[in-house]
Amino acid sequence: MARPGINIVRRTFLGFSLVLVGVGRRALAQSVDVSGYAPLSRPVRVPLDSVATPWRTVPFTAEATSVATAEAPARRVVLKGVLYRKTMEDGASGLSALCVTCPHELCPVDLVTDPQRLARMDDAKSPLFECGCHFSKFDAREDGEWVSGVAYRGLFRFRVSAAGTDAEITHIEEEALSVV
Amino acid sequence: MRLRLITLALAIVALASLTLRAQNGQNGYWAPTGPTHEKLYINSGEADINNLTIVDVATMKVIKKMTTGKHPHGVASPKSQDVLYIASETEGTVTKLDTINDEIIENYGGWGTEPQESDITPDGRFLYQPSYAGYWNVFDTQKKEIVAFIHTLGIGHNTLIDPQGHFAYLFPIKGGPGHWRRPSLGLPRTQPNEVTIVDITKNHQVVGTIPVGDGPRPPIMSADGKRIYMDVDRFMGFLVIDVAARKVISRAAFELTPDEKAASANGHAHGIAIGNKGKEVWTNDTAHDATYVFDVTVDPPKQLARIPVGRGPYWIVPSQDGMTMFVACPASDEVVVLDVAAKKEKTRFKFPAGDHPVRMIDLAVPIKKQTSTR
Repeated sequence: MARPGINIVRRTFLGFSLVLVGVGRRALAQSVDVSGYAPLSRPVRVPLDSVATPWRTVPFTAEATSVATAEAPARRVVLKGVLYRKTMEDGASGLSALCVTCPHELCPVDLVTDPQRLARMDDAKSPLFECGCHFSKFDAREDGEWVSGVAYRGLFRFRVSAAGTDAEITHIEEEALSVV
Repeated sequence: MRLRLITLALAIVALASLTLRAQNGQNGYWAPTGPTHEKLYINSGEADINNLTIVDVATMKVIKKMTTGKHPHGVASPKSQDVLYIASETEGTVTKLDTINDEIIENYGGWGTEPQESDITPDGRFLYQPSYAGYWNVFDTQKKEIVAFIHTLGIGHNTLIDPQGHFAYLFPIKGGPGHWRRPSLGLPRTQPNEVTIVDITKNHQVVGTIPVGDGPRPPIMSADGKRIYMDVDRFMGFLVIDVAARKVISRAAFELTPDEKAASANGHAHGIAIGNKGKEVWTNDTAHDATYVFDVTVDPPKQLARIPVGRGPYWIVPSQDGMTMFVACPASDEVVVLDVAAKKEKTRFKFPAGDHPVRMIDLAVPIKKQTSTR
């Protein structure tokens, strides 16, 4: 039979532990911002010069940590992405960074810019990403939005912004971390 | 002495027969009975025209291009190998091809939503043609009608019939939200982690299941019918199934770097084949553009090699002698030809950009017209 003093110490220790676990989980949850993006383990920087030409993709690799769930513990996730400069119909341009792993079955997707090939793709008017395995298509101008095929959603998006002479990629859509 | 020689000769013939069976196409096990012409049939998933490429394996030259139904998915040929059935996913048809003359004989419809990877009994009588909608059509090729429907809880996808034509193994995929986005297709939302076993000789009745832990992916059976090797969702490697015991007996995992593991934790292998006289299993790693070779004479299987191929390798079939592997890499529009003994690339076939070659079958086509299963 345990002594009363030891029981109090045990209870206090247990209580503190539960508080710590709660705080830890909350802090982890807060690392995913309200817009559904999670921070990369470290930002990826790509010289802006390398994406001066529209629709030329620059590959990069990013890293993040998934949030632990009841089904799966937190884990390190390596993501393959491309950065490119898109041009809009009105001539404006902007940067886009997308994960090039298809959300359907994790096959590689590639950017198609050849007008002849695009014409074969339901007469597409602007560049598309296409999955090599099941041929889902995603709109490159609309940041990887789903166009057709069995993929259940568009390509996972990175958050990218200009930082001096570089493009800085800092976040990934949180859902990517449980899918890839 | 004479009896001993005869026994020895018979044993050699039997052994050769078994060996050759192990080395045939993805769905075949058959040793030819006369002179044959070995041909590789390559289906291109996104080509509008010329979506069937026929290669003369002896010279590795393309000898013909043909157009069959769009988005070809399933390929199956009986023991005679004088006909080939090709399922078109988007047109919902199955094309029957005369492989001796490489001409289309007939097209059949009425399979239900998006027919997938089929197989056929050795005598060519029953074609097991899965529909995405979750069931298999059993097509009697003599009566030219569907004589049975077999339901599983998943989306109809891959099929394997044993060399005796006794049991059919049905591999429904789990599917997911992407598949269900088209509610009009009526796709099942149950996601079974099992293989369904059908007794062909008992009026196509379901006689059992094999739990495999996650969604089934492409399978292949050993020539003696004792083992099924299969890819499975969320596993970078393959499973080994003891057919008699109807259970998974081992898991063979790819040797990956920590970065590769972190990039493909939810990935799976896709496309699997048996080579080198039944001693090796070859399967593809779509995430890392590689094909792996495992020694399956030991349990668990031991990794022997990792061979870089094209982008997104998705299908693999062996040559008739099992000493060449053809790996379809749809993302880079090519078929890579690998030397089984050297574990190295021999050559590759390049396809027009965007054609996306995927499903293939290697056949020993009879040179002279013989008794057909048609």
